[in-house]
Amino acid sequence: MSEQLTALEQKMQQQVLRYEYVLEALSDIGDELCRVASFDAQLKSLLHLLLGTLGVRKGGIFLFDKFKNQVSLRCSWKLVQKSGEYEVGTEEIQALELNSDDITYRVKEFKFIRAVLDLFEEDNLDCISVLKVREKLIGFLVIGHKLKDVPLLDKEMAFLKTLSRNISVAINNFLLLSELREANARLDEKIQEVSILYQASQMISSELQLQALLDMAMSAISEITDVERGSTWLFDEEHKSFSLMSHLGNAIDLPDRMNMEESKALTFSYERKDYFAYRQGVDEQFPLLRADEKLFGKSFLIVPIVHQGEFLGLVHLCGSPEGAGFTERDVRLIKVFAVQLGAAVKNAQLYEQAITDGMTKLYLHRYFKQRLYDEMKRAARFKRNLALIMIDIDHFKCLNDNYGHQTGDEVLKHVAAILRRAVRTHDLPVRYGGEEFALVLPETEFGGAVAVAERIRKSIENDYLEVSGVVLKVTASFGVSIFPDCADDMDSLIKAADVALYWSKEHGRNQVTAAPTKFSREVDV
Amino acid sequence: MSEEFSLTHQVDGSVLIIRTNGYLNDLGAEQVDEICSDNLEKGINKIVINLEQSPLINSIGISILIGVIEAIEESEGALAFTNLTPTNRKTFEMMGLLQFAEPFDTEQEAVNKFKG
Repeated sequence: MSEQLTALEQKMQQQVLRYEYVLEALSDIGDELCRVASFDAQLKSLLHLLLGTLGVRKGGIFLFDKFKNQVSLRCSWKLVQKSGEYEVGTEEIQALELNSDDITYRVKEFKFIRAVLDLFEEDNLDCISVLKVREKLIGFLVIGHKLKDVPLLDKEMAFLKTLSRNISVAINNFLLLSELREANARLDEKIQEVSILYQASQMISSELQLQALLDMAMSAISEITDVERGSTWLFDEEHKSFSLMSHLGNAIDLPDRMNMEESKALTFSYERKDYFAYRQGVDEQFPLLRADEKLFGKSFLIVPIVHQGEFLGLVHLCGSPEGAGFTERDVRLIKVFAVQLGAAVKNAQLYEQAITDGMTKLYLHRYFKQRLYDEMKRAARFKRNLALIMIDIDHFKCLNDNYGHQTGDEVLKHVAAILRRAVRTHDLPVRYGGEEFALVLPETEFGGAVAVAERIRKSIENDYLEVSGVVLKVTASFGVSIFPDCADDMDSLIKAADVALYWSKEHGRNQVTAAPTKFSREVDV
Repeated sequence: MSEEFSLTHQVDGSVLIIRTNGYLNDLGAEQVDEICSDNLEKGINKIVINLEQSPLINSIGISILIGVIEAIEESEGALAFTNLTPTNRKTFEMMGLLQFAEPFDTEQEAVNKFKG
């Protein structure tokens, strides 16, 4: 009797041990969930956990792809058949998801996904579990026999069921987590892109000077992408030509100006008004662009600067020397940036139109006043000089009377062109009114200003123009005043230059007169 | 147990000795299976696995050892486990592993048995 009891006790003890072992596996599944590992590594661990708990030699996990309606073997251990895919019919999926019966079956009695299970005939699979969470199919778990080809006992089938349920939850959680991670990463990337673009747009949106604007655009682009070479071009509708405005990196091969027909890439961009990429030997749909390689590089991207359908110019970016081309992200960002740039360029162009005289391309009187005021304030702050030269064409009224207004206009354009050529970047050539011009020269002293005036006077004197077969020679008179030597405020400075100019006119024209300083009060010829 | 699983192995005459180190819950434990397969192919089919440094073996470890047993059975070799902790011994017994592999107290005893 006592011996019998001991045997029973022993059996019970064994049972308890077995249950303990299964429970341990369940907690290990929970542990697996907390591990930072790849999905495939986790799946494999889960499979090993299951096989080790049941004492089974081989098995595999199929996953169900709800977008493709396909099950495929994602991981396996010791299976002879290494892969298997199967498209599940909609009815089959419904039946599997809604079936509230058991989830664990002997493979030979399982009536679903037969086509794929038959592929594993050589593996002599024993059991299959349907992996699902809340009537949502996740996949299948198949296992072989125990050692010596012994099939699972019914009690072990119950273990399989419990473990499968937990594995379903683990896989489901992992899938949700990785979806979340992916979404998060995408979101992070988007936020970063938006912030880069925001900064770049901020930079360019308030700049009204075209040159400065396109310089900024170029450096903004180099920050948005890793591009090391590139250029920006503005389009001249009237001449169908492009002017180089700014560049990044080496620009030796780039001319200042190009007619559209000189480059297939430029023509292409103008005609399509859409971005395009070129890579040597890859984008053979543009065979003619080979000639452009010398200018733009072996791999390049051209994005048009367009504002409300109007083609304003383009941005050219050179690919890496390895010719790897541009990433999707680069292209996306540049395209968005080019839209912003289009508005900024248009804005700057309109502003330039508003402050310049259409005929002479010189700045207008109102803008002159505003800039002179600003420049004087700046000069006062930094204790620098500032020169103002007033210029008047000699005998302009006679010219107009003798040859007509059209000739008069040609003379104005002629003198304006000489003025534009004579000035430095920061100087300001102005059409003051009628036949009168002005020139603001920041950081210039008396000697320098008089020299500039004299040089321009000579240029005008030595040049000539031809209007309808008539050769014309013109001269001009000059008056020079200096801030703060001659005057402390703007009106007095203009007045001083004007008085000096009047002195030139009165004393034979075609000459330069410097206004008296506050100390000398004498006219210096 | 955060430490990584590792192992060393040596071939002593016709016997392969594997000494594991660490928790056999890691996929690193698949190495045991690889080394056994490699040696079985070379005709070395007597294997001693010393588990002294792996005091805890969970079901992941068991599944790997089952694979090893299966392979040795197929090639008609012999397997021995040595230095099993009482817990491991109980688990191995319950999972029926000891029907296919004899447990020894020390590595030397197992090697001697296989050589003799």
